[in-house]
Amino acid sequence: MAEYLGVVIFLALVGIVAGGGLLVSNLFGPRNPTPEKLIPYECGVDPVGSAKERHPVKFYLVAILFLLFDIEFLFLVILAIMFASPQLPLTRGLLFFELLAFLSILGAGFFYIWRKGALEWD
Amino acid sequence: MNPDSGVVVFIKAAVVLLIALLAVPIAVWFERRVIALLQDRLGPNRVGPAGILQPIADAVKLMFKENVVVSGADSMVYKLAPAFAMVPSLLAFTVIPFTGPTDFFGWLSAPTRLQVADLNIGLLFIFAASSLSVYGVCLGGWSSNNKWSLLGGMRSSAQMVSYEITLGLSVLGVLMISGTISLSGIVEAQSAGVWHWYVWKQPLAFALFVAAMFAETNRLPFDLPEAESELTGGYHTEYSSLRFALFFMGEYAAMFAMSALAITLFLGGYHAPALWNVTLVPESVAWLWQLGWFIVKALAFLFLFVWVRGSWPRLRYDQLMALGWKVFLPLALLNLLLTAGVMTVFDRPSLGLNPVRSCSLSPRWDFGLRGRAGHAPPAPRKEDGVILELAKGLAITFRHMLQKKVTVQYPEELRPRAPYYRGLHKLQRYADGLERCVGCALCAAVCPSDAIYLEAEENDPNDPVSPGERYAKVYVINELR
Repeated sequence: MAEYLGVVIFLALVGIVAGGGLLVSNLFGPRNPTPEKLIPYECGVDPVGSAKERHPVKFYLVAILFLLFDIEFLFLVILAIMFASPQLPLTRGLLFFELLAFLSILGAGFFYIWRKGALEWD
Repeated sequence: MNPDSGVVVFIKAAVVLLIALLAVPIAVWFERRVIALLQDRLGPNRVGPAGILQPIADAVKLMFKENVVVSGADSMVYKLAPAFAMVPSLLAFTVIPFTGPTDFFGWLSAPTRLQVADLNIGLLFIFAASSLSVYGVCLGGWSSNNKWSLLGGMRSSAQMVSYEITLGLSVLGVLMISGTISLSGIVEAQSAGVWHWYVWKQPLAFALFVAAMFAETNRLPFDLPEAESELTGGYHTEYSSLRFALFFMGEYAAMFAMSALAITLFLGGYHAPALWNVTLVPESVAWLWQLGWFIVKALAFLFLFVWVRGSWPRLRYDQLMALGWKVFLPLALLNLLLTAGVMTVFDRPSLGLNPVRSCSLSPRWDFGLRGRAGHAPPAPRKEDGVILELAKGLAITFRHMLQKKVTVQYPEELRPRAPYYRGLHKLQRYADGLERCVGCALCAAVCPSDAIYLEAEENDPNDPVSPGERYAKVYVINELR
């Protein structure tokens, strides 16, 4: 785990830069709020209602699909690494067959969501 | 010194952070200059030599601007979101190897890379870190209490997660060949020269990766989250001062991080093209040579980013999502399967697909240029397919970039004027300062083109404007008539 020291140090440095940026602009910037200035900008028209309203469920659908495919990506990473130098009893042929099986199940699911219209935005 | 000691790691982290932070203003300057050249302008050329200090000036200006917190904003989230957007994109730099092993002029006891942390899961770390920046964008949009921002944030998160799948899947082919996810391992596997770079073995994967990279960093033609013509800036509409600058820095840092990743995976990382690798440079400064090559490749990517931005139109949102899910994702899976198949059958690295041929488009993949079915443009001109059209667009802007700019450097260089030009119209005055015009309106009456408009008013006897009874309160010559 020693090599993660660099990540921790880098994260700390980046945190200092980001936090410093937020702090500096608070220190130097003027503070002169007026009600007009604080209105959310909607091209000069007074905003109607709150912005935190319901929004299309599509976005959640995309998020769920992303989760599925991302997990599948992680599985495939392991498979891809093993593919480069397969250890017996695994051989490339066997791994290829596994990949094919995995992708056909995935492909069936993908075909299903495609036909169901989960990928349409109209 | 022991290369694993905390001091060395700290110095490496500081140097890499410095490179990343310096890259941002240079990238901003480069982008503004190049995009200006593409559009027949000059771009910022006043602050410093060739305008290179312009981004610094902008940053200082932003520092002294007011931090507006919009009414109704979720204050805590609103204030922290910019940091959430910037930190993850910079974090990706930790695992990028910028140079090969070196002892830095004998300073270290054992050779090490200019790489903050040589993680054995480097690639996964980058994916984990860079996908965190979705939070910054999404939360920034949500907490602003602005409908544009919210839409921009939502769009952005949906787009970034969608294309992240393509990004990940396109890399798998490389992993199959190299057999490691350590980035330094992947670079070393390409060390044998330019023909061993993975871009030749995985051309389709490279094309997909670059396209998904544009989408991940929210750059044109995938800049739907910002879409200034419809969302007035998207998730950062309500941000001002350095908070806005942090979003900006995050975007440019992400551009560099993604370019660096593409270089590492497909373009041989810090390796120079074969011939120049060994012969030209002595051993001790080889690492500077490698760093230089890395920067050259990164600049080439930056130029590509800017060139594409200056040439191509933005996709519509449904086109964007369709492209990601229905074209790129199947292609990435296909590439994976082909690579595996070729490796299984021939037991040697695959040659992949020819990306141009595999994408040469049937009408259904014709994004952006043809319009949707049923909404066909009135007189469709003959089209050459998307790839060719896009290439043509790039060619046009490139030609314009090389042209001499026709422009006037205003204060130093005055535009030639017509000899009869006498400056702006002004009424004549007597020596005592009174206007000669008494508002008789005869001039307006005789003017053949009816260009003179005049309103007369009585003089105040105590403070006369003209010697007569009346003077011209309004006297306008409409020079457009």
